[in-house]
Amino acid sequence: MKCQQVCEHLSAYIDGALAEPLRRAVEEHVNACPRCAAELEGLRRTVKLVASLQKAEPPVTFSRDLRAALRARARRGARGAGAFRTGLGGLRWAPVAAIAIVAVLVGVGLNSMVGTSLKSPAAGPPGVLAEYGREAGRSGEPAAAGGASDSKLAAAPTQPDSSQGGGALAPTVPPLPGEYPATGGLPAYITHKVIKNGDLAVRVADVQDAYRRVAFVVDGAQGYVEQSSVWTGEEPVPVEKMNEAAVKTAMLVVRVPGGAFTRVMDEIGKLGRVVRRSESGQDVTQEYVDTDSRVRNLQRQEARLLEIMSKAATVDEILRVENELSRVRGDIEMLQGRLRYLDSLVAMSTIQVSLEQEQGVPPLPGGGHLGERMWRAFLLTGRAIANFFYALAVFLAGSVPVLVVLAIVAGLVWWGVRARRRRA
Amino acid sequence: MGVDLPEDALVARSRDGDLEAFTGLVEAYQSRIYNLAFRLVGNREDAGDMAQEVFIRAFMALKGFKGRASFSTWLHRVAANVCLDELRRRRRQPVTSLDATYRTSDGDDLARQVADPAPGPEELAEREEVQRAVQLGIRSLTPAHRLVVVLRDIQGLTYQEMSQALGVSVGTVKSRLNRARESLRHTFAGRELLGRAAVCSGEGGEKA
Repeated sequence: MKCQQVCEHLSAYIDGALAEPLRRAVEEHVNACPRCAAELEGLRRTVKLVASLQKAEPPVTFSRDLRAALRARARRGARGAGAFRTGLGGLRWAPVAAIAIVAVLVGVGLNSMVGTSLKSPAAGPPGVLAEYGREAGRSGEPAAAGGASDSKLAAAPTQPDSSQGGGALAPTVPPLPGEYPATGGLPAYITHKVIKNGDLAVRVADVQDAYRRVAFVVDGAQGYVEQSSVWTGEEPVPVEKMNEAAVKTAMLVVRVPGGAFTRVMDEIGKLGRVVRRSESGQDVTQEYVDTDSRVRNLQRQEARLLEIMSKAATVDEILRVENELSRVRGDIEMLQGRLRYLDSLVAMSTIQVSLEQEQGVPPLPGGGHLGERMWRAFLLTGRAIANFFYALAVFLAGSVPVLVVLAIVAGLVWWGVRARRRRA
Repeated sequence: MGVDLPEDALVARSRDGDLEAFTGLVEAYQSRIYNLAFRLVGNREDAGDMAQEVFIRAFMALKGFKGRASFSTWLHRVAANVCLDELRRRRRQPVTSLDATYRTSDGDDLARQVADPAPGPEELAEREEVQRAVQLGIRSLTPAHRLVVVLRDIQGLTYQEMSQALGVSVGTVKSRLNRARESLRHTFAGRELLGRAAVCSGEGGEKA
């Protein structure tokens, strides 16, 4: 073993993380080579120094501050955040959608121009996207419309908010009864609330390509990408710079309408080899009903307090009631935020997708399974042959006038030669 | 309520949005996460902000936590993402060095005077000197290297846990950690913190 190789393993050796034959090889080398022994000692001391750093303790107010921040964010988060994020998500993928549409058009145009009867799943480089354009189209949801309907969806939960802005004195309005169909056993406006979560890990040949496809599928289903990060293996890279680096891993958290959940899971699964897939449903009806009735109780309390307030005589009384009132309102707001949050979770199910580079297999253009690739290659070659004959036919047809001229010239020459011979 | 429940119960409740239960988790992990942030950014104020951000994001993302890794590892993953984001953002707007001079409005250059947090007896001062040097050494690493060193040697995560927390393979963790420690060793050797230590140059003789 060379020193350099040994050097690469010294760190793991210190941690006892080397598998047996390697560990012994390193040990033997270090015992025999004073240089590497010194190196090892230096590393050991380095590790020790780092580990000797004193623990820094958080400020005593840490968890209190955190709670306050979380409360504030829960209130804020239930309002505009969803719409904002969705709006951005829709915009970010708009160019991809546009390219896909153009690609579809070009693909269709090319196909009809060439006029071959062969059907191919991918029509060359632009066809890769075109394929997805077609898939999105098939699901009956044109990609371009995604942005608009997204914002509609996201705007819905924010509506009740307008009633409680500015500390208006009127009690907060309960949810509109007409919004939900009636169900037995539950208050008329509450249906069963089930949150669907999915988790999918897929090994793919080309992570970057798969990443775009996932985004496309999600967009097609009128969902959005809530969170994403891509890694080159060394460091995370910003999504915008994805093209410049060889991406090895990508993680996405996507939200799709409950109805599209299974279809989206299936489509993402088709991008490569699924190594993990799980789905779970969490029934939050009980919590929803509880929270809802707590809100109603508090609202009654609020109304009572307002009544008392109107009868209060002294400043002290008014202040006390005011205090109580603001506490009750704070609670109402928090619980309503929770209800909206639950609603949004139910309306949009969450899928966590992780894409990993398939190891050992070099990324092949187009992706897909072996059979699919063979079939595609077969079709491509077949089409190439068909194209050749097609081109040959066109060439021949185009050559006919030239051939005619040539034949006439040849005929004249031949006739002239024969005439001269006869004379001679 | 609920704060002295076992961890998985706290996690389950927090996932349902129970702030009380989540506070229990925060209290259990705040030291570790704060310490991690502190060693990564090097000052208390930013460390506090960053640790807060870690817990806020964890609370928001908890529904995505499926219990494949331990909660601690998962939390470290969130922390790693938050810290890396922050460190990357910061690289674009570098922190003022304490060694740089401070230019007053009159155009005079003043040396910065930094308050020494705990001036004590001699050996304590010396130990503090070493601590500061070590911290500076860590901060001289790239964000990714800093992270592996802190996760391993300060937070004490195993290679497996680090691989989960960083979303990379164990092999990558190993080689990254090796490189990080190697460059740290060079820095420390330059500051004469290691005593006598030779360099393994790699072009050395071949041994069986």
